[in-house]
Amino acid sequence: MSETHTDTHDHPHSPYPAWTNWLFTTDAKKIGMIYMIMAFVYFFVGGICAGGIRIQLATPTMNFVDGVTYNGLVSMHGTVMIFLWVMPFIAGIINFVMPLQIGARDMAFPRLNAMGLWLFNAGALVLMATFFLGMPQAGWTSYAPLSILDKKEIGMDLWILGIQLLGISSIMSGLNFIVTILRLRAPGMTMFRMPLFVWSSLVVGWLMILAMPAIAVTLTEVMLERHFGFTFFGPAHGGDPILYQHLFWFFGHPEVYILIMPAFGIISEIIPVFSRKPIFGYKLMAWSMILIAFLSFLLWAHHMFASGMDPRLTLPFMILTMIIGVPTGVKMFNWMATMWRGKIYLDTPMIYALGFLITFAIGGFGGIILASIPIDLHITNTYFVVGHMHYVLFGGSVMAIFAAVYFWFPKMTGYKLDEKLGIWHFVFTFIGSNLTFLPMHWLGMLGMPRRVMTYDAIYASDNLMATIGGLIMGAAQLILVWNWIVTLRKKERCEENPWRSKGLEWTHASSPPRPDNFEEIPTVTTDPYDYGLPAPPKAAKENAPKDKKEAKAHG
Amino acid sequence: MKPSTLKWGLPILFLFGALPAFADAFIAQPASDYGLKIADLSYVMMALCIIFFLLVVGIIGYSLWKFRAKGPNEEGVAIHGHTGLEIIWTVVPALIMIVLGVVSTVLVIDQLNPPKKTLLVKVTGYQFGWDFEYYQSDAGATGADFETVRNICGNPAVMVKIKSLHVKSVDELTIPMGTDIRFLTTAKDVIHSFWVPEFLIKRDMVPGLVADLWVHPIRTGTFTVKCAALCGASHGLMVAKLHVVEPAQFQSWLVAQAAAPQPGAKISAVTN
Repeated sequence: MSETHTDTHDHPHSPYPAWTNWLFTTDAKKIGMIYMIMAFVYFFVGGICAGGIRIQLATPTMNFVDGVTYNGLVSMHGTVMIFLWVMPFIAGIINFVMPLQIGARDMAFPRLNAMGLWLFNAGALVLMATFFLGMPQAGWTSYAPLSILDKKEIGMDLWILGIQLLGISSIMSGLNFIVTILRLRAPGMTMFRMPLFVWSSLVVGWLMILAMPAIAVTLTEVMLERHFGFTFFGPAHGGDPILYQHLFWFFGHPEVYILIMPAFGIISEIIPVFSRKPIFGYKLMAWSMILIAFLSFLLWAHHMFASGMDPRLTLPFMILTMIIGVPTGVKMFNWMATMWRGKIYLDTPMIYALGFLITFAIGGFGGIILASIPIDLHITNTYFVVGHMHYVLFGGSVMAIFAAVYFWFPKMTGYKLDEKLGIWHFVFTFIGSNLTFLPMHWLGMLGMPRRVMTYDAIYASDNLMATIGGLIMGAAQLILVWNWIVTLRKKERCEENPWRSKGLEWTHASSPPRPDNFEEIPTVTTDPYDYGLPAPPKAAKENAPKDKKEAKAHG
Repeated sequence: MKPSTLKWGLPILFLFGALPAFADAFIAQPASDYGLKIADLSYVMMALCIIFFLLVVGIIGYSLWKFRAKGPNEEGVAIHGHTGLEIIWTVVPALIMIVLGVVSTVLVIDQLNPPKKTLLVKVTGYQFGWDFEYYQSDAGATGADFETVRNICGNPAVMVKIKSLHVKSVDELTIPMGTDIRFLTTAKDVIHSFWVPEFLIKRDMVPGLVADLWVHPIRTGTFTVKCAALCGASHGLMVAKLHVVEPAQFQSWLVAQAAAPQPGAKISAVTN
């Protein structure tokens, strides 16, 4: 998008045509842009899968697709949305924003970065091939023995290959994030002067390099079992199906936090800017991310309470799951406290951040209900889980992604997205997503299992509502595309810092930034989020106990 | 236009979202005493969540009303944090979690300690159907006895001390009301999951493994057993009928079934 503006600097004497600047680029910003553009392409692919699912579920007797296609759509919807939409978008936004925020000229390993990008693209193409050669049948979790039973099913093999490539790409990205943040910060930027988005990038980096190897090993074992006569999971020769679930969720649960952690970072960036106030409790916000990431490796088996694993072993996982709710709740309260006594501007990014707070809260509550083993044994593997997980991933991650798109679009292109269209996009996305995912909670409680292509007539009205909501939500995304087209066509340059942000990426880099980010590496002398006027000493004293009372009354 | 969309968006959402929920119940009507406890706990949890949700929406709404910027270039108050407040909203949720954790643990232990004397039903799942086999556990059975019962389910050749094996009933499950019933779950091919929504509990059926759950049905009726784990193309069609009947009716049903045994129904019971 910003091609014409920067490519002349990239390779001044390049004999190759301009588009190769994108193909061979090692510039973190360009790599980030490619990640994000591809992510949005796959967002629409995953959305079409979801559309197929919702149309099939519109009525109990619908015959839109057959069982094999339906399971394929279910598997690919989950896979695409997780691995080809949220993950690459995260990689993209971190690549673009994080080096600018810490005052670095590029990532620590630019070529590794480029290799990660193209491995991602290769893996994504392999996964796309399943749409033509046969879609995987075992869901995004690919539980054994279902995933090893039919050895002729090519979709499963492609799925394994694709995820392996994406996994390697993620490990490369994670390593790069960590080293960049630890080694390339501008002078004066101590760890506790880093913006919270950088903290979230650091935490995500660790999650990636520690969790992705687990799925690599697991899928290698599945491959060996499918085609090379090994036995790991198939009970016929003494394998253990539960082992697969332990291995998968040891990756799968941190993966959930890979998807949400950057959202925490994005929201922590946006709320202070549009509240004109420092983030409330900066250190606690950073530490809570570290604690959440650490705990996320210790609660994988809460996905398996009904699996038949020894019930006594489930108790520690329940307790740890409840514990992780505490730092997450702290973040919610701190974001709300950041708005308190601020001066709130309701620009589009802030509206999305508020949407995030509301929907993510519902997702969090669903998570706490699911954490309780006896309740979980009723609602696990039902539509309650589908509803909860979409509140966290759509209401959480995707809302934050949209907030990030509106917030950093001026930084990436120099143009500000249309506010009016942005608000309509939000309104329909918000209404549509809640219509879709809220009824799923009681559908599950009432007795509708997940991943089914038909259901009892008593669930018909709620399902129809979910389908209508889904179509509204899908159509709303066209407003976003229209907004891009309108904005990029208009070519109306906005101010360098339209949000009056105090982040380095806004104060010290142009929009869009030059290839090496900064003319001169800035020296950092203040804490991040240096917003707001100092409170008059007397007023501060008066207000502090009042705030406390307020919170106690609510608590 | 900005404030009005926010003002109207939420009420509309709740109007549409809540209507069907009020028409039905929020949760399956329990048909077992354990199910009643789970339903109660779920309602308490949901109420707590709704209270906290209203708190969140309230704080956000109040902030938007009270702290909206009136013009350009305004700045808020530079408050960086408040240790006391942060301690409060760490400790209060933690206390709620502890209470929830204790209550949940009590219910888990409840499920972990089934009555000694139960009707045993071995449930075997396969693509895409169900086998139900009935056993009667010994009145004086011990924990060790249950282990041997577990063994037979994993491996039908193993000897087991049970009174009798009555019937095998395919895709249809009949159980007596007011009796403790223990289900042993396993599968032949891939993972399935045994779920009767009205019992508010499920257990996966894993090939090569026998898991269990127990219930005490409190009302008669016809319910649906559902497979709750993706098991293949016809996963959504893998359902079975469940009849909860009066004990006397159950006995006569058993006699009738035993009179006409189906193939594969007989496993010789040997005292060990």
